[in-house]
Amino acid sequence: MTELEKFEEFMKNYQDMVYSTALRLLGNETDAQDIAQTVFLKAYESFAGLRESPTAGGWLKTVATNLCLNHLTRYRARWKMFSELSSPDDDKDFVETVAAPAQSNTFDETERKRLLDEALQRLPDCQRVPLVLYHFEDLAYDEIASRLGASLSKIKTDIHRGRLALKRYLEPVRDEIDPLGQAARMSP
Amino acid sequence: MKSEPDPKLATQIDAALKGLPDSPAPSSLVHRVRAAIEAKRAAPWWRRSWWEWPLAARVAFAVLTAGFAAILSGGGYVLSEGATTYSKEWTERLVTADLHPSSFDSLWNAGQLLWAQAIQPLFHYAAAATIVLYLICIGLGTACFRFAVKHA
Repeated sequence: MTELEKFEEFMKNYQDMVYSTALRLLGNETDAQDIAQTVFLKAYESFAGLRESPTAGGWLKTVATNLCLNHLTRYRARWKMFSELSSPDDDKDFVETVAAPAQSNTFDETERKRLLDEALQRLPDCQRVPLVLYHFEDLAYDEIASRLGASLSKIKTDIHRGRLALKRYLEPVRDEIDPLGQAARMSP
Repeated sequence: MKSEPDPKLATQIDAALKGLPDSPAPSSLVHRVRAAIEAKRAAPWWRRSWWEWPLAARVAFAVLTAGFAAILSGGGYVLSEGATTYSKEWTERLVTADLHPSSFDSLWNAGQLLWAQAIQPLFHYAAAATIVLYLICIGLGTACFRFAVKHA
């Protein structure tokens, strides 16, 4: 088995984790693939040390997270001027952009998870990124605020809004959906 | 520090999100990475990072760079000496030259006349137009951004 074939085996063990990390942070499949490719190219350069390392998964996840945050920072810098002009109420529009879960008792677990994942990806960046860092990377609010260069109160508000938007995917929804299938407006 | 505005919701969301399975990476990812690695391997040594160059090439490059830096710093010294001599010559010429103040007066008067007759009356309009155009740019930019975000 050549070195490259060994690396491909290594990659197959971790590619879903790396790709998922990138997809959750970026909310975009194409960007997530690009980031995952870059992560594995970096891993190949350090393959001698990573091959047998028990912390290889953590290393890959950290590199993926850092690359995603760099990517988002570059993108955000381009739009910062205009995004700062948008009104704080713009975030609430998300609730209407995500399809309401079907009002059915046959709403199975797999389908619910799929919808929750989809809803997470469709959250606005300002809610999704801190939410993912908090729940998947186990970072504290102040660490997230520091890494994203935002105030602590904004991070808390954005995470809370993100949770409220995802709330209706937690259980087979009955009480939050009206008879027309429209989501009840959630107050922050 | 993890103080929660709604601890129950936070716990529920945490459990739900952590229960999500990983999204399967596209099958093309392995091929893309392999192709990128092979392309990198196939690249000639001078297109790789300096650390991957052959030892002889690295040494030669270091010697050449040091020589180039020496030439640049030596050249800078020669140029600086030349510039000092040249500026001294001009200073001496200007100090000894017989300058006529009347020629400067005419130029000054012409400038004042041009300002009073042509530029000053239009100055306020030009300033106002600049401000209006600036505000239009901000407004159009904001509208385009919101349109793009809503239709993304």
